[in-house]
Amino acid sequence: MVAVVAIVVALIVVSVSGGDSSSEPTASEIRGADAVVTLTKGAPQAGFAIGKAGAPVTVREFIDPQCPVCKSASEDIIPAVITGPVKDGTARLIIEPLTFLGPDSSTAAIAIAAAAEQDRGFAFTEILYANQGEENKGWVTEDLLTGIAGSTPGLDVAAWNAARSGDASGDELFAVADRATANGVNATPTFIITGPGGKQVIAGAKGSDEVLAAIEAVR
Amino acid sequence: MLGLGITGYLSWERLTGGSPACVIGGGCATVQNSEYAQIFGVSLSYLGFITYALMLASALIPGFWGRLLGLVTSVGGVLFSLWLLYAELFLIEALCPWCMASLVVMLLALAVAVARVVRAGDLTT
Repeated sequence: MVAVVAIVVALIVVSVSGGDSSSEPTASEIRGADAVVTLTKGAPQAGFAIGKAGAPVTVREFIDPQCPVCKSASEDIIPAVITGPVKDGTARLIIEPLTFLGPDSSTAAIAIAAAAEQDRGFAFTEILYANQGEENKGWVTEDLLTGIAGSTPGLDVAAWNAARSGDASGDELFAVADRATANGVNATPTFIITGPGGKQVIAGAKGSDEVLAAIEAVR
Repeated sequence: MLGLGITGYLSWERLTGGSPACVIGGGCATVQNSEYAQIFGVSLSYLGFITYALMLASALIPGFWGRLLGLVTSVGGVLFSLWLLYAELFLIEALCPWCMASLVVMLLALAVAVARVVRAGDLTT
């Protein structure tokens, strides 16, 4: 019994001592901007969306900016969707930011919505995920957001900053929350894929094959 | 068996590269993706599965050694589950429903293990 307790205490000490090793990027250390430039090249952006407005398939991705699985989706699923069906005109991807994980989610989502007012919601979101920090630890700082805004191609930082304190960004997020409720979304990421062939819903981020197959199925 | 089911599911999600989503009001994925979700690089899902497998084995092993194995694994499991609950509440700040279900199963297993020991009279000898 003593040995078991000693092992558990040792494991706790090891875990706690490793708890403060992460560090958040500063404004000069924004990651992912170059990759987003490459990814979005040739694909039109509008509001929260990327892809042709008349594309037959619509992919709505409900996210929370702090959700680590959404970050995984950003790295493992979204590039395949953009380089495939979005760029060939089959699909249009729309980012739908929710804010249920905590205060940092709200701050980040408003920043995304403000970027969307300049048709850069998607690009801003992707760069944000490349710089995601530990959940609810205050990683969404002004330095980080301003750095991301400055790294987002085509974004007027002064106008973005002004939009963050306006009503439009908050209204957009309320509308997203309403759409999530209407569609029964209770987790992120959730992909709602609609097209002439019907509707498919995928919760979680198991891989790009599943999302690509769903797009193919409803096109 | 319930514990094997819970940890088996979570282990399968890890092995297949999939992740449970961030559930509104839940946050299991946050826990699974946190630094506390593994010890020395080994996922807690796997460790939990091994612990439950040892518990099952202890139920099949007759005599003192079976009872001892059941007691050690359930005490260790409960202590570790309580540590994980503490981490979820105060360090990760997200609750994992699967982990809480596992804690309940561990407590039940501990009760059974203690009952086995008491009934066998191991404490009085």
